[in-house]
Amino acid sequence: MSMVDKATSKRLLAVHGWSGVILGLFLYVVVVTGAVAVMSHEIGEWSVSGAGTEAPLNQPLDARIRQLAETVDPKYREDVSIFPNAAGTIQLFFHTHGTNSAGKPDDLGVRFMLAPKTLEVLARDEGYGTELPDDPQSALDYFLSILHISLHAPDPVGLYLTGLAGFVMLAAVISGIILHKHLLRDLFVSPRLSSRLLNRRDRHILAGSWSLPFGFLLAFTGTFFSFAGAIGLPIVAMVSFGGDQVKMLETLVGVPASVNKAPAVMANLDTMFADASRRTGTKPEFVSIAHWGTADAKVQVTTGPVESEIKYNNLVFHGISGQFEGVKPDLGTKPSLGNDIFGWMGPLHFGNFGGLLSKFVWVMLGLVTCYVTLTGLRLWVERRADDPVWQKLSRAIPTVGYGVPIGMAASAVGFLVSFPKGDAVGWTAGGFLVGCAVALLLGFVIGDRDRLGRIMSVLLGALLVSLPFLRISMGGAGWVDLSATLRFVPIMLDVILFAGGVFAIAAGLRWQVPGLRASQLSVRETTAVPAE
Amino acid sequence: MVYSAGALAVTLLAMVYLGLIDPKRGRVFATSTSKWLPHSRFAGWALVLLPGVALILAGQLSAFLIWFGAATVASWGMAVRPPRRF
Repeated sequence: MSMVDKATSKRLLAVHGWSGVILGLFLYVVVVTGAVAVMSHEIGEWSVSGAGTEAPLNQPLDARIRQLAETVDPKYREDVSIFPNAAGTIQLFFHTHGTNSAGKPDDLGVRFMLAPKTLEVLARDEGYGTELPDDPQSALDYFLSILHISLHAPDPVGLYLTGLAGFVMLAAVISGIILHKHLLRDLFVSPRLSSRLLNRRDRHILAGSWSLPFGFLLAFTGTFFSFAGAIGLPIVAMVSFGGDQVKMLETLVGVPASVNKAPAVMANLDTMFADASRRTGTKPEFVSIAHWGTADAKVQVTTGPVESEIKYNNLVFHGISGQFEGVKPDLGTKPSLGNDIFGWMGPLHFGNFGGLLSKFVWVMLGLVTCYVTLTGLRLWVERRADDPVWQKLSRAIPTVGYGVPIGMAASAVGFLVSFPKGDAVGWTAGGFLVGCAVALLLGFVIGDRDRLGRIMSVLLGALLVSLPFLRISMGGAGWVDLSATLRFVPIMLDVILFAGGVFAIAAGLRWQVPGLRASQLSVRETTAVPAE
Repeated sequence: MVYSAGALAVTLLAMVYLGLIDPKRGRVFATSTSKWLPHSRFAGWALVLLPGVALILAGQLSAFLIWFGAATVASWGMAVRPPRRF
């Protein structure tokens, strides 16, 4: 039985359809890049042929950090951030706080890049955090992550755009629930074979029905991340802190009102990092030291979630005594429901709480959502098979549907080719643009949608198959070397890329690629399902 | 991982059962494979959800989410196949 009357149902169907048509391809771009970005750390590790060390922050760092602290201006020793990239290279950033050239609050200081194991200084850069040179080793995974987060549009426009995609997805999920009268009854009904249009409709509804819970979850958490920082926090700052965002952040993260700045000798950092690992059973992933070398120095070690949990842990140690002081909430200074919910948002969106297993599941959930989006769009244009305008526009579906993955694969080609020469950041973005441009060109040149889809599929497959060979031929470690040093992530991704590429080529050469020509639809088929 | 895999196995078995006894699926594809099975959708759904409830009660939030996500994707993969290939 329908949850709404017929007129409301019709209006909702119009909202569901038109919002999907107008912003569906945009939503697809955000979701497909998100599905890939779930594996961004592994992609980063693959792109540099494995991390130089298994647990970068559990190697002896203390002496090196002390030594480098003495080389920077004392004003930069107010705070220190320490974290590894996917290659195991450690970023050590001594900084204070200031206002950058864009007039925004920013960290100002000296950043060292330390090689894994040897801790040799690979680079030393000074300036505002957001204006420092990009890390070439992270060029590919960073590019793909930002593509999902903000589409590389300037702040806050990019965040608004991806937040809008989240709203579209929420609207589609909610209207889909209301519209589908027999949601539970149809959960096991395979797409019917009586007409192709009905088959398309059933495929869209079936995938949409099964992906509803996570569609809602991913859309809600994604919208939160897009709008919380771009709109939510500025509003809170304006209403409660007279527009002072720094003061608001200090309140939210629980910065103490006064600090004893008397000089003092820091306790051994390695001991604290090891203690954090022992307490949580996971390795440290990020370290933040406040007030280095003063009596009130605090060391906050962020570790991955313990096995049964999904939240990351912030363990706080006294910087001078080295004593463990407790687990600090992400928000405020005391445990709260709000803090718990905030702490769940990230893992629920990124799927990074259960190692590779949870990430694989999240990738699959993202791909199912992509499938729902594209089948919904295809259904819309196939119901308008007699309208030449819609049929022309329908080529946008394979163009974007394959074009974005082609662009992402091409960005990996750009990275692999340029990384040995040291210009990976520019060429990664360049590769993506070239890939997208080729896809757009094919979309304009090839008039037949079926043929376009098949060619795009073969092109995508060829790129994916080439990536493992390109990685190794450009100086990356081979499987024997990787196995000998127990670096299995690059091997795993090589296999996935190769298998995915073979699948895409086979789909392009042998199978009916999703998409129908108008002439293929019979009158019976076009009237089998009421038009939206 | 062990908790998730075990829970997923139970849930997928229950999903297969629900697929076999689903009246609309049988009607649409004119199949009669489920005549030998007892027909209880309630028991089927209870068995589908039971592992999730058990994981929550055991405090295994991580395993619960993996189970939930994997169960929806795998169940869709199962449901989308016509009965003769099931």
